[in-house]
Amino acid sequence: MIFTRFKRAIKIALANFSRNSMLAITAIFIMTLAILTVSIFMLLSFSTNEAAQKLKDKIDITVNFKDEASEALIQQLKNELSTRENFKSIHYISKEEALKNFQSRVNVKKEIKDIVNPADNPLPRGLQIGAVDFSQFDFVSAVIKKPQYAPYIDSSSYEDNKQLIQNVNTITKFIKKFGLVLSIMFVLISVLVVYNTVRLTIIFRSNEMEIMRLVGASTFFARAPFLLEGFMYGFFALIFSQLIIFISIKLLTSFGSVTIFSSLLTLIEPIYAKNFWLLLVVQLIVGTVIGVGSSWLSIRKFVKL
Amino acid sequence: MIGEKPIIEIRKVSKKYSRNLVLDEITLGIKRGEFVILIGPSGAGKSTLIRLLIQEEKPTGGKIFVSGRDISRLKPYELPYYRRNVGIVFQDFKLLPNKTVYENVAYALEVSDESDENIRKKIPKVLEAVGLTERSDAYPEELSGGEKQRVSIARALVHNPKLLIADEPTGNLDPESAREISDILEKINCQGTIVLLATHNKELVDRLRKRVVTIKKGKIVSDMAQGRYVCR
Repeated sequence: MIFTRFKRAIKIALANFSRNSMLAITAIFIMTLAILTVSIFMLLSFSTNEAAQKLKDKIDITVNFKDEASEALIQQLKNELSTRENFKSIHYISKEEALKNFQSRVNVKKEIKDIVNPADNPLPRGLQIGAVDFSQFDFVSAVIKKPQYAPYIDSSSYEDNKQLIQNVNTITKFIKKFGLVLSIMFVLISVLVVYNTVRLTIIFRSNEMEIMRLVGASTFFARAPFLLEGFMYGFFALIFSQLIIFISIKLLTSFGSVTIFSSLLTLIEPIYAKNFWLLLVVQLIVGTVIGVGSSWLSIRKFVKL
Repeated sequence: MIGEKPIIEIRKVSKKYSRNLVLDEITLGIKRGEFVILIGPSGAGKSTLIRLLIQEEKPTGGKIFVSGRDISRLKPYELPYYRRNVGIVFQDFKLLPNKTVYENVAYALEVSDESDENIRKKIPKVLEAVGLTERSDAYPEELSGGEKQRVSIARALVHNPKLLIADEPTGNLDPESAREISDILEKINCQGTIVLLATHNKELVDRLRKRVVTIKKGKIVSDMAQGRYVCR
């Protein structure tokens, strides 16, 4: 019986759908836009997160000491920083190691490398701190500014890196906020469009609805076709948005490095592949919530039993 | 049937639209197997009484009992089941133009969760009862007014209702078709269904010689066991 009920409800829903095809196309178009916005926002958000993460992993803070700083002082600073759990590593760089690192650098001319030698080594000793999280940077900054250390510290890469990370964070936050606002806007527009589309379908079918009421149609038949109609809008919108995303990524990557998006795309493509199912579930939820939810609101207001 | 409790009991029912009192404390009982004709001038309150009986609207005051149950207190989910016990026929037929005779009648069963097998069994019987077996594949636009009304009656009967309400069923029909419809209504009544007919058709009322209830300005002004259409 359940199968028969659904078969009949689907038949009515399909009839509504084809009878008001232009309305249906408009609803699907708007919902596709909404789902696309949510998907693109998600992909961009994942990509910038990953980019920021990669950047943060790469960035270390190096604190260089003046020659008059004692080994004991350096050790004391190292110990103080180590009290924080989240530091991946704090590595002491001796003058010898600093020289070795310098000599192994490829982008430094040989003439310059020759000036620096073990007998006359101006390179400072340092602590290389691998920071896990951007928030740890301020802790490092606070410690090295303490009066017992500050006079002995020659330089630190803290400020430069802080600026860079702040920029990345600002962009990431902006994309998230902008994406969220845009997504909410499109979702709301879609809700309104689907709500009104279903409302118009109900008005077009008012004659049939009246007959339904008079012959004692079950609540299921008075409502299910409209809910199915809303679901169909969401379903088609989901297929279209997936197709658009898939084709866009394929097309843009085939253009190779000529586009300015190429570096972002190299990031987005694997993220799309990795998060395909998550994206699909989110799209399905957004599509169903907009389609079925808006129909439900419309039914509650306009279908009289 | 004397002393028998009425199946439909309308007790002091009033209906008010803003300040306009359309029904004024109407009391009426209809017993099993009765054929009641409701007459009265336009705007007297006949259609309002029918709307209350099919629960399209609720009374402002009073109560309506059908088979001992106060229908104004039915829960929304109970309404469809109640309406399947009340067949209704209108002047404008209310048929779906894109469905055939068969499909129009089947539709009432389809949306009421009837199985395909039962639909196949019931429809030929009900179409035969109204004499439309031969026209089952025709679309409403291919039918005469009388035939359309017979489809509408078939649809109203398909749930085997206890009560059949006909609101001006002959209003759009020629005298010949009107007579056909009245014959069908009588036949249905003979098989045990209560028929409540609201009409302006004098000839129909006089020919049927059934109980006639006259409503005027929202009140019952006469109730005659074998009434005639009286012009006042």
